[in-house]
Amino acid sequence: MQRLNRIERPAQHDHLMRAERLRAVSLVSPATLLLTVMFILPLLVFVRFSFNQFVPGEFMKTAWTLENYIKFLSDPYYLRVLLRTIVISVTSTVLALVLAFPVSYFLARLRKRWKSLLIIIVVFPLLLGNVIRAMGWIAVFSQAGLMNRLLLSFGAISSPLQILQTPFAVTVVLAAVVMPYMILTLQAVIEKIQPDLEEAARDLGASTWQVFRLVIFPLAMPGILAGTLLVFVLCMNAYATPLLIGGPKVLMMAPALYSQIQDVSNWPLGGAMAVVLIGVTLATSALYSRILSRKYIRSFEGGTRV
Amino acid sequence: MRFGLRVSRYFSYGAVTAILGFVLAPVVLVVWISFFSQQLILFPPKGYSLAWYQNILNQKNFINAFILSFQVALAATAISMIIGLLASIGLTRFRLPGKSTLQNLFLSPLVVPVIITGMAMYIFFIRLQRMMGIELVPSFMVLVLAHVIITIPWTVRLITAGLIGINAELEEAAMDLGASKWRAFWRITLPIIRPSIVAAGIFAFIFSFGNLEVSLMLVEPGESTIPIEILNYVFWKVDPTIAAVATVKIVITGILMLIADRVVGLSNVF
Repeated sequence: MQRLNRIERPAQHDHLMRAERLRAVSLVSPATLLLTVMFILPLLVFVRFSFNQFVPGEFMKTAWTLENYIKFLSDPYYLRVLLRTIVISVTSTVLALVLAFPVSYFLARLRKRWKSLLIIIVVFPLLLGNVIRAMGWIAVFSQAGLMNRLLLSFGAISSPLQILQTPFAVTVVLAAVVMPYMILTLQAVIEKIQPDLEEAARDLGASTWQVFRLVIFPLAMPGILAGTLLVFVLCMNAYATPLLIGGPKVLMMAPALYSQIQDVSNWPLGGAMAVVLIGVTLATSALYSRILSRKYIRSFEGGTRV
Repeated sequence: MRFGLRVSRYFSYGAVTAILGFVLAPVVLVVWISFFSQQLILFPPKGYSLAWYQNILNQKNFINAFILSFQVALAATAISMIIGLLASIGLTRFRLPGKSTLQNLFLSPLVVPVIITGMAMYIFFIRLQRMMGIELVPSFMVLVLAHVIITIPWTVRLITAGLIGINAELEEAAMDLGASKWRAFWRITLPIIRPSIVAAGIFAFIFSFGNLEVSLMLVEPGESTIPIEILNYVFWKVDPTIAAVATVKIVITGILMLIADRVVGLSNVF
């Protein structure tokens, strides 16, 4: 059948197809070329470096060795940085989810006019970059900052607290920094949940909490999955926030990686750290989405259980 | 019952306002601090002053950083829009082998930590520089191309979405009436997707203008972009001077965002 088709197809059509394909290829080639040369190739070179040997004083020696990975994974100092990065990222993600959900629900049920205004408010901080937002948070959390000032004037504390350079501060600020992404992702999914469904549940006697747990939450699950994944990756990769809020006391992977390159010029170890960071992030995300989607489908099947 | 409903409604308004405040408050705070009269930040301030804004004009490093960021963002946006538009047409208007691979390639800069992207580019071009004997890092060209890479996902995504959204029959109708494929695209499709293209340009500009990580290793010492200049300052202290610099950036970004919202509506982009 296929062969017949091929014979039947006029030669001119074939020629046209080829011309069209050529045109399509030439259209995508500038972007493809640029991404290959400026992005893919440099990344591959950097990954290759992670197998080289670091020689202090010199640049490095070409080799095929795993010693950089072994050094990273056997050094408690680096492992603590990695673990801290994961714990802070997970906590910030959960915090962002819990805080973003009510806002997203509220946004999704708003009339269009107000909704676009609120979306502007949510998107704006995101466009500013993280340095300016970290600056604002420093003014909130520093010794003479707004937070300490308020606590002192209410008499809740007698001397200023050290809030900056604590894991608490980094977690809170990271959650605030990534929240716009969470709000927007959740909002897009909740928007599609018919309000009729909630009303029907309520008519059948469900309480507000039951409506949330049994109707909204399961239906918003794809948004929750997408939002938490995106936000988790952003937290894992964060540079400016942990650097400015956490400082050397709350070192996370991206600043540690940068100082490995900038201060010590240890490109092989830096490369290994980059591979570990990307690898851990991808592996965690894959595992998480697998567990969650499996659980989600199971709860969907048992949906009649109340 | 009614009273209870009203209370819960006010409560939910309050909660949503508080959470939005949590996101927006730091930005508002930075703007507020830029008007404080005393150098040392104390709440509440002793008085207000515009002196810090005047002060910016005397600080060459900030002015130069603004100029460099503008130039880089402008050049990167132009390149990113052109090759992003071409790529989007190729992806949506033609049958192309390996289409999904290409799509993933165009979006891939969003997945890799930007700081790693910047480092990889730095070391790659240092190597290339040694082989070819021309200066590449730091150079304006490499800095611009690096910013093209981080903006490409946005231009391709926005323009592709615009192209998918329109009715392909319009173009076919024009061709039936005798227009060439090129002419039909130029006269019919392009005007329809103009908002998407404009939005792509504005967002490319904003993301380039605000990006810190990719430039960190690609700039000359003493000649950096505005996010780096602000970072280096904030690393040591936060005072009204830097708050004023940040406020200028906040205003520029805000104006651009409002234009983008007018053109496409932000809720359609995010």
